[in-house]
Amino acid sequence: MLELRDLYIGYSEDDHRRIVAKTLNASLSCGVLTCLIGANGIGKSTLMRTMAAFQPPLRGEVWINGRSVASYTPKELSERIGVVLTEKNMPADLTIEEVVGLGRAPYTNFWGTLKEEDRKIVDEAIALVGLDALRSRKIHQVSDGERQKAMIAKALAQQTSVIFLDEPTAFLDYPSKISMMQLLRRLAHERNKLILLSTHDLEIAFQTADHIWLLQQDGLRAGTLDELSRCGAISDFLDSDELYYDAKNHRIMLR
Amino acid sequence: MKNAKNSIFTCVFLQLKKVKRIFAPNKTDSKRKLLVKINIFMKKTLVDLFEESVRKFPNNTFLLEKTDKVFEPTTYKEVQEKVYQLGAGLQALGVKKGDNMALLSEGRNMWVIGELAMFYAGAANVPLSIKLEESNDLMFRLIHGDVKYMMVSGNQLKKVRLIKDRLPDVEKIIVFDPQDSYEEREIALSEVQQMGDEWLKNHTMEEFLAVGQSLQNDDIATITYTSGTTADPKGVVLTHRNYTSNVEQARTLVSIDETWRTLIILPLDHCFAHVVGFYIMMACGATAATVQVGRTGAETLRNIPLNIKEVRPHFILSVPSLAKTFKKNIEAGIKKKGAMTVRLFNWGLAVKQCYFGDSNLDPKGLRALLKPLVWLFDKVLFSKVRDNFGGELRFFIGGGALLDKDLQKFYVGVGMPMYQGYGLSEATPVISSNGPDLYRFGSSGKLVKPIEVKICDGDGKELPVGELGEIVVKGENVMKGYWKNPDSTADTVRDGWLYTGDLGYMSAENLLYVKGRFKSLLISSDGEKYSPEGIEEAFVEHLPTVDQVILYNNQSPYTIALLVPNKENIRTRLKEQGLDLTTEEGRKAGVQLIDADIARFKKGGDLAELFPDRWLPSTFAVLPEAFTEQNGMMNSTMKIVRGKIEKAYADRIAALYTAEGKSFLNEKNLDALK
Repeated sequence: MLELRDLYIGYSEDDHRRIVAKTLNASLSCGVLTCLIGANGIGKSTLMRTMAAFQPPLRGEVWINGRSVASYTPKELSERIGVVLTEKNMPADLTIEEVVGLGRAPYTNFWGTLKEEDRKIVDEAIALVGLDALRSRKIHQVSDGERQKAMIAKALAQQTSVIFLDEPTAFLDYPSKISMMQLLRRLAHERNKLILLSTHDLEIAFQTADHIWLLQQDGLRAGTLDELSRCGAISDFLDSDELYYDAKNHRIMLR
Repeated sequence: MKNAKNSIFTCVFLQLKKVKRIFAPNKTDSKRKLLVKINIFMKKTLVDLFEESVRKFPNNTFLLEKTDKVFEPTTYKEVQEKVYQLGAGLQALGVKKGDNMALLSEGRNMWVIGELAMFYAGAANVPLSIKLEESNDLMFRLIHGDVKYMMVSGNQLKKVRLIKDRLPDVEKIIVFDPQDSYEEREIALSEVQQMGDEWLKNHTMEEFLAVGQSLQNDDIATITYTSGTTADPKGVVLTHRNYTSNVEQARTLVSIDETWRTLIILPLDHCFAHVVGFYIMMACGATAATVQVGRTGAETLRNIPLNIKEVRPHFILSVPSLAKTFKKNIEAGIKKKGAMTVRLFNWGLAVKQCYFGDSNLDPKGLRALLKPLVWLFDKVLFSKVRDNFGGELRFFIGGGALLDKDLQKFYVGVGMPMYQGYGLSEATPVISSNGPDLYRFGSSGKLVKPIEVKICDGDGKELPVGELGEIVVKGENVMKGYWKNPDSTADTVRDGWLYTGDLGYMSAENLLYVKGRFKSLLISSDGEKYSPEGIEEAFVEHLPTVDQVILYNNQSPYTIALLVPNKENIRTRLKEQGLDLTTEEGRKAGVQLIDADIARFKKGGDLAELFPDRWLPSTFAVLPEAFTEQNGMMNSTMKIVRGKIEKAYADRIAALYTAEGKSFLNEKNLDALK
């Protein structure tokens, strides 16, 4: 479904290339919620951007549905990958319903007119994230959590099999974080979507994710939480003078 | 007090400066010498280089090999494990520091792992070309190279079996691929690996590593035999530091990082592929792939285009013959698309070549107006060509013989420049190269750093910038010498300077231009070199119609001869036919006599098989005048001065390479017999 093959990510600067992370190899299938974790600045967002073909890899390939993303046209990409970023600047003065409707852009005509069928899909997406009551509210008049949900609904309306989310739980209060993750988990399982999200809320991730991707400079450790904690990868990542990882209970403890 | 202190310092400082001026009048020179000294004290063997790369890039892919359906990666860490295993196996087998081992195999993972393992057992590698078909050629190298152990691929084993009886000093032959049965002294790779596992179990890692760590800069890494001269082949002895220094030097010309891949098409025993394809990639943490080995050589060749698409290399090492093949394939592909595409392609090439002129730098002035058109052609046409090379290919690096300007222009045109470089095995090999920063057609590019280069005349006197002479170089990359051949070594390396025997000059831009051979070697179009003296002597000795002769081949498809006829003998032989040289018919018969004489060395003749056919002249020029001291074509020690002769008869040489002038029955030849 999704495959990273000897992927090097980073940036080309004039005559040299700055490698952020390298030798990334992993694969994911549909119907699975995966959390991408790793230290600040390790390249989680760069990896997401590379996977979504927003920037080219320095080496290696990202394969989705048996093809390298580099070979997809922009339209093909928009029909296959939905991306939810954290940025707050929204087109002003749009209602939640209208924002979600933007997700239909790959399928509508030049003017973006929604047909009956498109409206049904938008309605369904809004219902799935539980925003029915707020559908005519302006997007900048709702809470962070609600706006985040609206963005997810937009990705759902895009009807892609793959959804990438960059820190969808940031800025949310604790209960909202939990419900956000539960929502994504439900979507992955019930709608058979491949959902990959980056997060720093490790304990929530440990409890909800089917798979963990632990990004490190010289590679990616991928597996279920049990697999990663058994081989000590999580401890290596977390243990410090101040805290340690309790592998038995999947808890992060202060020393 | 403070002042006094200051003045003392000033005094001392001035004194020091004076001392420095006395002992090192040339500042840059002294700096360079200091650098060289510092380098000498730093141990950097190939083992050190490999260990450093494994430490820095453990999970990077080092090798890519395809034995079945897809290219399988092997990381640096994994290569290290395999090297340790085999290295320990070699130690268990009895390989000792200072032993020579031969490696006869197609380019593949085991080639690389095998060589590195030899170093960990303290041995030197004698890499052998798989192109060696003649038993004698192989045997000479194995015996002269004092080879005690061999590593051989399954495909090459039969060659070794043919001559094994005559190689009493070879103790063990390690066979890479499993065989149905093993003859005496042969041992399966898997068995040696098992011995290695066992050995490592019973010894500490320190014990194992001790041998490899004990190697010094000056210890021999490889003995590479140069191909085909009439005299016995010479074994170029390269030390560990020769390699590591040339890796450092070559990296000053092109920046390769760990994301790069190359596909090694040239044989790995070729010094060029050995250093640039393998060791430079290793130093950078980058990836080297090898062509999938077929059952036959031809099958291996056929795998190349597919392998290029699979590996998607960032650069490819090339020699002119390969460049020509690629060009033919590109043109064939275009032709298939129809006449319209061909016209468009040629037009696009013309526009691009006009735009770029004599370099690949973006031009200024009027030509810059072509930029949009160049961009368009590149986008719609040439990018498709590049897709056939994997899509990521940035350039080729051309070594071996000189690549002609038209070919260079062609490759710049399609957007995959073929940077001409210059080097020779004796210099490990890289001396200079064009690169992405600076590219001038016809030149061999910028010199590596650090290296010293001077251009000398026949007496070894240094010539000024721009003048043509022998290229002489000095640097850490200069070989230790020729194996068991002190005379040739003394001839070639004098006072640390390597006399390359190549003819060239330095331009005002400080670019090196290589113009051919300063010494007499023949160079074929695919870069093979051959010393003509043996053939020339044999001609004069055996052929009554030939008095004096020189052979000539400067990267042409065939060799020619410039000869001075023995008119006396020709006349005598013509008399038997009732002819003489006064008539046209007689002169024709005379030239035919010379041809018949030369044919005695070719297939079917009584002197056949003394020399390879390809180096015998296909045609010849009969010269009107003998080589004498008076006309300068001989020097005072009665040696023929080739340069003079070639210059004097440049028009005759050129004519022999034209379709009309190729026939030896040409008018000039007939006239010369008057």
